[in-house]
Amino acid sequence: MRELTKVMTLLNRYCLLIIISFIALFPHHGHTKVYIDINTPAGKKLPIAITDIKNIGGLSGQPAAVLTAQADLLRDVIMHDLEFSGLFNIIDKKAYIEDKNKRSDDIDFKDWRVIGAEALIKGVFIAEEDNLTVELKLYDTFQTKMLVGRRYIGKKGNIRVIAHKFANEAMEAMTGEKEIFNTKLLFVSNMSGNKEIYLADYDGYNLRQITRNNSINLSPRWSPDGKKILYTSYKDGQPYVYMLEIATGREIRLSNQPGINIGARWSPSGKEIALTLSRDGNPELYILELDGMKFRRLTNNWAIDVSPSWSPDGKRLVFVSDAGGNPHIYMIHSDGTGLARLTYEGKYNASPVLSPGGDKIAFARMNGGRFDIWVMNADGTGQVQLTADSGDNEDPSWSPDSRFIAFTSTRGGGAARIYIMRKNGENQKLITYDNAEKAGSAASPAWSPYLE
Amino acid sequence: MKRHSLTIFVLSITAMFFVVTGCMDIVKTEEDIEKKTEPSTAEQTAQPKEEEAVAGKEDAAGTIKEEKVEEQSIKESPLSAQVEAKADAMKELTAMAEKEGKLAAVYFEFDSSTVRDDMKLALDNNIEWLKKRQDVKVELQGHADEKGTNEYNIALGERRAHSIKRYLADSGINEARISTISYGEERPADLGHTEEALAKNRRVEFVIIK
Repeated sequence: MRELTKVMTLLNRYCLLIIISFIALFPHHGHTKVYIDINTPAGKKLPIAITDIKNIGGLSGQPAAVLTAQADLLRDVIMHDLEFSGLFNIIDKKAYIEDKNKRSDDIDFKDWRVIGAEALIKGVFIAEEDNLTVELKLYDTFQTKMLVGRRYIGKKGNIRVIAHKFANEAMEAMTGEKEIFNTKLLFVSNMSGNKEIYLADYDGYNLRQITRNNSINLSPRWSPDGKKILYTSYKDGQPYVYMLEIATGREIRLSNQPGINIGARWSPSGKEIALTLSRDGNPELYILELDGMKFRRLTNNWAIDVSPSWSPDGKRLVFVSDAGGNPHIYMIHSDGTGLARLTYEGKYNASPVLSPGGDKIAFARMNGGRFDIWVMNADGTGQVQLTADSGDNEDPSWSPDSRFIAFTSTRGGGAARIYIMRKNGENQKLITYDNAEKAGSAASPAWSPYLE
Repeated sequence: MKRHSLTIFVLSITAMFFVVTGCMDIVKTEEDIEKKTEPSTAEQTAQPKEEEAVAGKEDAAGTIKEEKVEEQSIKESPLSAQVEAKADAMKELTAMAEKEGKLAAVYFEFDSSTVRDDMKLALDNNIEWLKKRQDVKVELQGHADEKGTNEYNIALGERRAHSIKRYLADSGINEARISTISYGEERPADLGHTEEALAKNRRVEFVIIK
C-alpha cells in the first residue's frame, strides 16, 4: 500500500513536470479548451446533464428520505448555480436514458450524446452520522473524458458549500474564468425589529445575523480579503464606523469623530478607508490611513459629500455631492486633485460603485419620483437604464467578476428586497432568504470579493 | 515549415491529452471543508428583555392618553382672530410638547435644509420657551424622508439640525445648550409612503435633555 502511494506521488510529480514543460514549450497552445465564452451571453447555451447524486454508503441507520433530501439538495444547488450563470441549457432528468442501476463511473457516453448533452455531471456520496463525503465529476461527453474530479470530506451542514465549490470548479473548467458561486452578500434587514447586518450566500441561503445590538446598523462593506467588514452603527449614540472580523467577532470602533461618521469603504489595497465625516462642520470625504490611523481630508466645499467608492487601482474615487444644487456623481483622485462631475441628468443621483473591472459605474438615479439602477462608463458617458417601472431600485453592488449587480428594490409594493441581475439588466431575480418570509426589509447589499 | 510546426503541435496536444487525463485519474483532490471555511459569525449580547418591551407599551399608552386631554383643552380656548388662534394653538402645543419632553418639530422641503417661512412661528415659540427655561438643554434631531440613500439622508438630517441650531444661535440661544444628531431616514415619524407621510418625516425634532 505504501509502495503504491509512493508510485502515485512520483507519477503525480512526473505528470506535473510534463505539463509544465508543455506549457513552457508551447505557451500559445497551453490553454485548455474554452467550452463557453462568457463574454457572449447571447451565444449558444451549453447543453449539460446532471444525474442524481447517488448514495453509495447504505442507510447507516438513517431514514432513506433524509439521504434522498441530501442528494437532491446537492444536485439542486449545483443546478441552480449553473442556471444562474445563464450559460447552460440543463437537460431535464426525464430525458436521461442511462440505466440508473449502473455504477456511477461506468459511463457509456453515447447515452448522453444521444440526448444532446455535451457535458455531464455525476456524483456519489456517503453520509455517516454527521460526516459527509461527496465525490463529484464533470465529463466532456464528446471527448469522453473527465474535466473535473473532486472529493469533498465535510459535515452534513456543508452540503451547500460543497455544491457551490464544485459548481465553481466545473464552471472554471468550462469558461476559463474564476467563478462567484461561493461568494456572499452582506445586507441590512429589520426582520428583528431593528436594522441589523446579515450575511447570506450569494443565492440568499445560509442566512446569519452579524450584529445584534438593537440599534441602527447600516452600510456593511467587505474588506478586500473578505475577512472583515465595516459598518456604520448608532449603538454608541452617534453614527460611528466599526470594523468587525467575521470569524472571531473581534471588533474595533474605527471612527468616532464629532458629528457623523458614515459610508466607509475599504481601498483595494486594504490599507486605507474612505468615509464621510462632518467633524469640520460639513459632510466631507476623508481617507483614513489604517497604518497610523491618520485622517486625510479629500473634499472641501459647502456641499454634502457622501458615498465614496474606489477604483480598482485605488487611484480614484466616485462619490455623491450636491455641490451642483442636487445630488450628482463626481470623481476625484485619491490625493484630492482632479475633481470632475460625471452626471448632469436626473434630480437625484446616488450610490455610485465602480465595477471590479474598473470600466463601468453602477448608480441609482431618480426620475419622475422613482429610483432606478443605471450603468455608465467610468468617464460618465454611455448612460444606460437597467431597471424600470418596478418601485424604487437602489444600492447597486457588483459581483467580483463584474458580470452581475445586486440591488435593493421595492417592486411589488412591499418592503425592500434584494435582487440580482446581469450587468445589462437581464434576468432580474429576487434573492429570497430562508426564514425571512415573515416580514422585514432587506437592503443595501454588499457583494463579497472572491472567497476561499 | 508551417506544416512541420503544425504536426508538432498536433502531436503534442495529443500527448498532452493523455498526460492530462492520466493525471486526472490519479490526482484526487480532497478538501477539508470543515468548520474553518464557515466563519463562526459574530453574534453579540443578549435578546431584548421581556419587561423592557412591556414597559415601553405602557409608556406609549400613557402618552396617547395625555394627547387626548390636551386636544380637548385646545378646543376650549377662545378663538378670536386667526393669527392669535394659531399662536395660542402653538403655545398649547409647546406646553404639550414640554410634558412629552419635546418642543414643536420643524418641517422641510425635499432635499432642503432651508428654514421654511411657515415654520418660523413654531421656531420662535420654541425659542421663547427656551429663553424662559435657561436650565434646559435641547438636542436637535435631524431626519429625512425615505427617498434617496441612507448615507445622503444622514448628511441631510445633520444639515437640517445644523440649520436650526444656527437659527437658534442667531436668536440668542447659547450654543452650549444645543446638541445635534442626525438619524437620516432611520426613524420616520410616519411609516406611510405617501407624499403626506414623507413630508412629516422631513423634520427636526427638539428633544429636551436636562
